[in-house]
Amino acid sequence: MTNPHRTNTALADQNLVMRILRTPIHILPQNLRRKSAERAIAQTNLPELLQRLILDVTNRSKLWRSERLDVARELASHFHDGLASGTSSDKLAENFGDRARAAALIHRSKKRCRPKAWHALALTTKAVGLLFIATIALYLALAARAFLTHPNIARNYLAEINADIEKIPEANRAWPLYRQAYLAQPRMPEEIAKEQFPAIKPEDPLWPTTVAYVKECQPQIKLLHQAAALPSLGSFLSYQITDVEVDTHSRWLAGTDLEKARAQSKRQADGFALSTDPNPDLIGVLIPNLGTMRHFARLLTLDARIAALNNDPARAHENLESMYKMSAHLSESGFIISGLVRLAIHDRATQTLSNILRDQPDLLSTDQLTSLAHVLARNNLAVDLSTERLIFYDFIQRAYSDNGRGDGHLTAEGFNLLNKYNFRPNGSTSLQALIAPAATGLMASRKEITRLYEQGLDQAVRFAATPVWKRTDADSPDLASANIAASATSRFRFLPVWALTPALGRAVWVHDESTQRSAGLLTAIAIEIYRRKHGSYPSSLADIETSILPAIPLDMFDGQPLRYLPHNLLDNNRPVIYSIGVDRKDDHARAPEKIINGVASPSNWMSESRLKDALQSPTERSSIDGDWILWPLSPDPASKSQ
Amino acid sequence: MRIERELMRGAGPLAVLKLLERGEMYGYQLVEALAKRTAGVLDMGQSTLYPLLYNLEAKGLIESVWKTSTTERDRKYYRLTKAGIKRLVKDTEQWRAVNAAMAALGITASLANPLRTPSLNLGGGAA
Repeated sequence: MTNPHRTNTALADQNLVMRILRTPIHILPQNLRRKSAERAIAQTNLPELLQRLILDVTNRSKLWRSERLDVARELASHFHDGLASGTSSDKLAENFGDRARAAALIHRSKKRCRPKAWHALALTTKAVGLLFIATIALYLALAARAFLTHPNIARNYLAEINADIEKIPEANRAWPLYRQAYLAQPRMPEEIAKEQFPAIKPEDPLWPTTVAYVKECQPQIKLLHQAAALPSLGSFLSYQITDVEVDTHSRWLAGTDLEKARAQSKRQADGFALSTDPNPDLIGVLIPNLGTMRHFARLLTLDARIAALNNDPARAHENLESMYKMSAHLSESGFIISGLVRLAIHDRATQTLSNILRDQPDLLSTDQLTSLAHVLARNNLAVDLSTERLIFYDFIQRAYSDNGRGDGHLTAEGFNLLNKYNFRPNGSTSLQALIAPAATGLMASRKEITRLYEQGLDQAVRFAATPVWKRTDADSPDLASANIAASATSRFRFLPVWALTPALGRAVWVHDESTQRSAGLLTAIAIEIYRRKHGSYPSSLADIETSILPAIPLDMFDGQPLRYLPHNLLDNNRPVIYSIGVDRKDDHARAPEKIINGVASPSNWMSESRLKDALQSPTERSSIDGDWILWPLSPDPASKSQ
Repeated sequence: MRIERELMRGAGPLAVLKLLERGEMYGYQLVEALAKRTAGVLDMGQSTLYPLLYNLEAKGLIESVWKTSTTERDRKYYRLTKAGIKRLVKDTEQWRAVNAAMAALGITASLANPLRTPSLNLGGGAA
């Protein structure tokens, strides 16, 4: 029972102890604060009606303890004054007004009196809270957008590419013969497999074993010649790889350690080969012909060298011609990697023929040289980015939503696809899942991504079509990628473009280099045919009849005819064909002191403005001050393309 | 006569500032003074007065100090600050302008003759 005139603080303290004991622990601090106010009010000696009023108002005000005590003290003082003036406690309570409203007003006004730091903190807390809520809301909206919208996979690019291959008559398809040759190959001796076997020289201890192995491969080489003579490759793109191919392929992966190789090959195959999806990702498709063709090019190089050493021009000629035709076969797929392998095989043939022409100029007949010149000149070495575009479009259709107007956003499926191909920002899997909705919101739209990608590839096509001597730094097809890579934000925002754009500049330069080497070899064949016809080398390239050389190839560094010296004082008075090289200065066939990448080639190309600075630097100068010798090549046959 | 809350919101603070112009006062004194000097028109309960005082204090127009009176009871006294004095001058001018406007409309008495209420002019045959 409540004592209506309780003023005894001891009683209040006793009640306080009991209440504390009975109070659940989680509301104890709140009750302790309340008890402090109660105790203070109890000490005012006011009638209980007014004590209750003060307690009620202060409790409802939800202010800090000190503030409540201050309010309670002031109200108590007020009521004391009222009582002293003769007003009854009932009247004072009545005059006080509405308690709830008073508590609310006091709460609001007292809070305004708090320190500025508190207001700043409160405002910050509120702002952070609002920001947090807004972030969560945005996150949920993005999550809904990412997970509730799906890509529209409308095209089967793999089937479309294969449909074109299907149109090639079976009799014209070379790949079945290449494959047959590949699967029937004798096992390569371990000691040869460990070496770069085309580079093995007659003086090497391994030479007899190598010659024996190549002899053993003659049935397969015959098949290769048959295959190379066919007009098309006809190799279907597939996700399927048989165990036989895995095992056979293993031999080239790791020599004779078959178990290790099989495991390695299986690992490679498991990632891609087991898909039974009728419309699989184009990006993960297998191109097994690349490794196969590279291997065959090495084998034919070796066979051509052995044939040359054995004075067997027909065999050497057949091998070289097959290599050029194999290279041409690889232009069929349109993958940039296929193009690079195509150029590598072409270069290997060019280098082998150049060396034969240097070391055994009379080996090949004029007809043989002419036929090789024709097949070499016919090889289309242009950069082909058509399938690269399809890879990108295929990725886009699998990763982005489609609003029917060429735009959309990255979906959850798209984010998973980025992860599948390791095109992702660093972080754990759970972190990846957590950031997926945000990532899909932050990454650029389908339209932006596509536009940027196409700009880069279009730029590369224009760059490749522009003569080297007319190019500037601003034309570089790698500028777009460099801009994306310049900051972490743009790398993230345009991740698909950054990840899926190949090294375009490098691809173009490799093509340029190969084209110029071919031009050098064509000119070398022309001067050799001229020598046979006239008894000596021409004094000038302009002396060569157009029936032998229809036009003098141009030096890619200045657009002028290739340079030629009939008697190179630096090389025993032998003729030399060269380009003025990166420094655009005719050094009369003097090669740079330090040769990077094998030759003073276009890969070191730089604009006029950069060239001036580079020539001032002793380090850079040593690699660019000089000419690019196209023929004869360095006597060492083991160059980079081996 | 009880004044509407909206009107009180504008008049109450100025009335309190005006009362404090003469010197510091405590809450009960202010309640009493408001009731007596405005003939009960601006009489406000404590539930309105104290929040009003806290608001004025928060704005820096008044300041408070606890003092022990001769009766040995603590009282919280309020007094005008410099900002409060400025506000009082400014608000008084504004209220005068409002009053003049109201007088022109015949709603309130002219400040020149505050005892002449609009009703006295009704019938208007004094001229």
